[in-house]
Amino acid sequence: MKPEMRAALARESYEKKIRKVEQLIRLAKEFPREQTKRAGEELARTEAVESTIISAIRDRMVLEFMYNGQPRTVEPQTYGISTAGHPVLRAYQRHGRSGSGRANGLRLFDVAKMSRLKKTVKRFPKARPEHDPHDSAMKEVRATLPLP
Amino acid sequence: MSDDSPTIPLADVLRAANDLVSTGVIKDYALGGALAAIHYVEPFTTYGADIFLIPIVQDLSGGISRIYDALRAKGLGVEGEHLLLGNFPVQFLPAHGLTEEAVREAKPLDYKGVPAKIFRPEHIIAIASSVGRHKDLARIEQLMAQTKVDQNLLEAILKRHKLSLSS
Repeated sequence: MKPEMRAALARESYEKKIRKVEQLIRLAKEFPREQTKRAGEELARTEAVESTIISAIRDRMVLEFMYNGQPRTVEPQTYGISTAGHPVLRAYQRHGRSGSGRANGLRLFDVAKMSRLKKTVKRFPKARPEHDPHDSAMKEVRATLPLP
Repeated sequence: MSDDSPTIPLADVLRAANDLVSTGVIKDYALGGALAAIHYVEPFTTYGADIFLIPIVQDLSGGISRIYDALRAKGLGVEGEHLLLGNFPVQFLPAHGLTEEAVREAKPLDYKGVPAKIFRPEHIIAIASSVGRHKDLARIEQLMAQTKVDQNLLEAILKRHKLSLSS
């Protein structure tokens, strides 16, 4: 919170501030420390995953991860927020099986389902011909490759 | 306690303290601790009220057992060293030295129509510096940043009680 906002809170009437402390106490009861800690850990994980994906797109590095119980090797094309509101990655799958049975091709991955994500040392030259920087599955694009 | 009932029955706490004064159990009191600090800074979570009092009976415990008896007679519960108003813990602490000065020089407060006294920010800072835990140092920073502190008064208090903000 910005210092000006904190100073504005400090200037509120004592009765109003006591009501806010009461709200804080109720919130602390509703969201105990352990729950807050777990939420913080989840946020830290999401930020780390996002950072790995964005840097892989920027540097055109191949990514590996587990998804639906299968190892995947992909060339990341676009990362963003899906129309449903969660982080997703559009990537070209080089290796690995999928639930649909198709091995290769452009796929949309739900970031929350990824595990053991790592950036490899392998690079790919450019985006795939079917790459669309304005991916229609995303309402917000956070990183994308230039058109090939 | 319903969700709408006050979690902090501060007006009741102050009324109980006023009763102790009017019935001659204590000479004087003032609200100290976190709830006093919140008067001057942004709200933060706290789970109890600290009432510093000047007792009439000056024994080693500051006549605290007589005070607790009087409060229990008014229906307040006891949990460890805290009295409970509703579910809210309240500590009645005999004031000595710096805290006694803080009570004597406390500012008047009107809380929901209940007259009371509350520690000045300069005394809260001095007390925090004498305790020196991490949260006390954070409280000093907050007070310095968010309220008008009388620097001359603060320096005089610190000097009088041989304290320093860097210690």
